[in-house]
Amino acid sequence: MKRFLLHIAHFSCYLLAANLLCYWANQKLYFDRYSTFDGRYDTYLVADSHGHSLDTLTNAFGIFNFSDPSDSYKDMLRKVKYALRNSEVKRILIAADHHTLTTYRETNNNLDRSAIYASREDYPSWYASFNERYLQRYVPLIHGKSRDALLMHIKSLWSNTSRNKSHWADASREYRMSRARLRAGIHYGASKRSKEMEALLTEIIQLCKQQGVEVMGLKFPLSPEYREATNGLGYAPDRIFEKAGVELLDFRAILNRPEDFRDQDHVSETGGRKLLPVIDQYLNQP
Amino acid sequence: MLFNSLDFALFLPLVFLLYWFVTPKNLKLQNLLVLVSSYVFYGWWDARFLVLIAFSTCIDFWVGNQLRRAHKTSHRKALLWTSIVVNIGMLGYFKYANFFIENFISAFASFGIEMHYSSLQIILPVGISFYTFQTLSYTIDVYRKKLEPTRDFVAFAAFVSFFPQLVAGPIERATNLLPQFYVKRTFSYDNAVLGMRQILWGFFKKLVIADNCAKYANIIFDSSADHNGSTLVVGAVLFAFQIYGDFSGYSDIAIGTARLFGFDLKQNFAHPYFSRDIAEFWRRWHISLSTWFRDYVYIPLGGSRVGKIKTVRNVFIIFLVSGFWHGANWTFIAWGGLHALFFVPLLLVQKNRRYLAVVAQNSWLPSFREAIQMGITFLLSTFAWIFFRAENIDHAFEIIGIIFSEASLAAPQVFPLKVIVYIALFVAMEWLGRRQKFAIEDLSFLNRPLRWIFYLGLLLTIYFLGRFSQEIEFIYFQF
Repeated sequence: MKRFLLHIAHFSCYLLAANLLCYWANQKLYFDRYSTFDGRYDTYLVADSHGHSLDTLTNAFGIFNFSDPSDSYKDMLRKVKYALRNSEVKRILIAADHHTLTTYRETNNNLDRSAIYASREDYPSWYASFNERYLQRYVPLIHGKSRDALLMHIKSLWSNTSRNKSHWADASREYRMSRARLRAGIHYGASKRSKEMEALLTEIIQLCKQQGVEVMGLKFPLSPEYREATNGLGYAPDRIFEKAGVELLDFRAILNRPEDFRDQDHVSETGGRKLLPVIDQYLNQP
Repeated sequence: MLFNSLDFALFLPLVFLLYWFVTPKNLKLQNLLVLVSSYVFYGWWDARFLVLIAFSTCIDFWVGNQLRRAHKTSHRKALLWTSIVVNIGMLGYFKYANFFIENFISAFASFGIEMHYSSLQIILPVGISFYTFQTLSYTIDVYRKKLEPTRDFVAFAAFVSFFPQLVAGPIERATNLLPQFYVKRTFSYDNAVLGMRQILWGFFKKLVIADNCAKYANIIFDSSADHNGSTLVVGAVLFAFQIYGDFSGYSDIAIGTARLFGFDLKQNFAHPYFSRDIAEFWRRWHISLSTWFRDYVYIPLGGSRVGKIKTVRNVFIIFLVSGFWHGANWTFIAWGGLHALFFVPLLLVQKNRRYLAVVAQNSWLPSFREAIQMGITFLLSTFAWIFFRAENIDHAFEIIGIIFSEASLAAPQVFPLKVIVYIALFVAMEWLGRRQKFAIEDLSFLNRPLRWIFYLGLLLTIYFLGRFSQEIEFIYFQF
């Protein structure tokens, strides 16, 4: 037995070394790419990639962009709670896009990364908390998403896909339509309305209201091609906002030129520069 | 609890340490630990299912002890039937109730009698087909006086619920596993290392081979109408490797885990895709189930000693029942029936026991004839897998129709080269290890540093090539 355990321990050292290497790589490639909170603001934008594409352009309008690609309402709830604990929050702008209420977001999210904004009380059990907050971060060898990020990085080293990507504005209308249809398929193809996401959105709104924080929903601009491809698809969150008596701003159709988008459903820098003054106008109207 | 989950990664070392360091001197305590661990393992899915397994355990323990005292044949038979009715009744209700009701209604409807019915909301308890067969083996062997009934309830309950093989086999015989609970287990370094190696190989089969094949096989089968014949052939081949990797991978992990606790479980797979005919395939595929049916159904029916017509009948019975055991769907029955059709000609010309030894026993490569035989057997079994995988009989015939249409000559629309390469490497390793119980059983030709490099390499292969973003259940859990 002693020999067996010694060999297991010895072999585990090699595994530990491999784990450390993966941990180091994953911190750089995966975890460090997640938003870092800045508590100096009083208005926070929490959204998924639709908000994230505005990058730091929001700063000039006094809004901290606390959005990350693939954030679900569960990730957003953690961020909102964290912001409420660590800043003098006056206003929360929250994504109210139609794909955010699908089951797609139950599986495609950032729970492993937003765990840094969660506390033990946010989990149903000690074990769930330990798993998500520590094991998934510090033991990348058992964490599939870390592995995927690492593999993607290794692939990108020789395929250099980002450089080969054609600009949305330069692409033909047919190409843009095909991309828009593909994206619509990903968002809505096999997805259903998620009761879990609805409940989480309601919880965020109620939490903000309880804390006396103004909350406002945002529907981000979508390219004409994507709007055409998703005609009739999606799960509008309007009823949830209406029921809570919270304002919902719909910007889906305010941008129509290809250069306003970097792809079918994300604004480009040009688009962002057009969108933000409009949002600002809404926020500051008497 | 799934083997490929973090829960199990924490559960196994904990139970291992408790087993060997806290309870090693007290056999009863050690068995109790196995029992409690097994119930925790099983209850992790749904604690309500524990009631069923506990009920089945109590019934068979009671029947066993009553059989000890019963001397009259009629009394003994009544006790045996009590166990059979309870176990098969439980299995029948949870697994087949809706199937029978729906088929009765369809049958009445074909005579113009309309009946209204809404499906019963029954959840199929995980592994029920496995543990009911395991407990039945105990009662039948006690009835046949091949086994002394046990007076040790804890040992018996631990035998029924032994966590490594509880939910997907191998289906252990009481004559093999139960006596192992009566004697003190001693830790063996070699056995434990072998166990760890088998677990590692099982994970490779499951996460790298089965789950990668599953990704494409699911795409192809789920939208079969959109694909041409050659694509469906690719899908069927991928499914053949998916189910082999998935199920034999589970068995490897189960057997390896049992070894860590000093138990020796039956071999469940013996490189079935290297079989030269269907009879050999069935001696190498899901061995614990096929031998169960042989010993408890085929032989009591007279086996092959009852004249040709009755022998053929017996073969069809065991293959059809074996198919039905897999699930309440005509597709499984058709799968079993097809295998019976493949098997019967060999039986009739008395060539069903031609190949008992492993192929190419004394050479590196198979002869041309052997290669052709293996190819044909693989194609036959893959053809039958189409029925196994299809949603229903119509779906299976639709797929076969497309495969044998002219469109089959077109290039496949889905051809996952990466996965095909994994399969090729896997088959090569299986071929090299075909004389062993599992492909990497004997690594004594490598010195320790090289062995460790091999283990690390295999682990990194699992890490980089395996699919484990979401825990994917083993296929046989649904049976």
